[in-house]
Amino acid sequence: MTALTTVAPETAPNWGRIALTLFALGALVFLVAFEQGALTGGAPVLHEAFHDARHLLGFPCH
Amino acid sequence: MLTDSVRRGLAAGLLAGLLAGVFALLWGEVPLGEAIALEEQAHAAAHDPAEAAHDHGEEFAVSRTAQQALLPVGSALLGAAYGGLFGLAFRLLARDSGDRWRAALLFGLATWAAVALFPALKYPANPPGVGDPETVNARTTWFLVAIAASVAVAIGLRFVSKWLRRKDWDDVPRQLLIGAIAACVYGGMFLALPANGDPVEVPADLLWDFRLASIGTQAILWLGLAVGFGWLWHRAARRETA
Repeated sequence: MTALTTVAPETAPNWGRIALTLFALGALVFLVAFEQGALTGGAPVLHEAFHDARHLLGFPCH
Repeated sequence: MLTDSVRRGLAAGLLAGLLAGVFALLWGEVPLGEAIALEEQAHAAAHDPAEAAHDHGEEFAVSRTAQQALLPVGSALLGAAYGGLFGLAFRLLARDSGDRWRAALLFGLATWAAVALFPALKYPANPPGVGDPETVNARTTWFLVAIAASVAVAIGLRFVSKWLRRKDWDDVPRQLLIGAIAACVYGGMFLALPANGDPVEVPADLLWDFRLASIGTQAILWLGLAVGFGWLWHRAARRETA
């Protein structure tokens, strides 16, 4: 039993899981780096919270 | 396997982002603070005192102190997201490599050059106070186009290189050819992408310090991510053989 579990078979990529991972991580990048207030009722709360991080990581800012 | 790669990327990216945030806090905040002071001076000079006092009411919802404190938080979150994507891409593009440590370092170097360095050279980071708010959407779009094109070319070159290897090309002519194509295509893209036409009206030494700190922050994030990721794979491989 242990021998079976340690040698993991090379399975085909799970495209559903890949798409979900891509979406979740892409959304995180968007929130930290690009969101300009559309999700917080027009007030650029995330823009201001990550203001310094955005500037120093090279993202275009106001 | 896929989950392992993404998980290792998330962990390495979180740490590398935190490290980059600390570097940015120590070196980047100095020119950034100077640029904000200049921006406020210019703003105060352009308005009479009564209006300046009025302006104060609609200042930032997030204080400067909080913005500075959130700098490593933001870079760590972004690092984790980049790390997860990096782990996913590594699994899909570079899985057939024998030596995972070496493969992760090379893959990380190429990713840094494609995702961060090329866009940063074409559209260098600007301190606060630079940039016309009217053009921010166009600048963001072209910045994303530069990243997407640069990553697409890098992936394309990787496939051409693998194809040539399958055709039994020797390493040296194959790598020379790929290098020459990369130089021509990236050079052509650099010239073809439209320039950022916004006026930059901060002192040149401040601008240089800021851009240096920005490139340093991104280099620490990406190269730290590659080193941490490679080390986690290396450790896992050693455990498997032990």
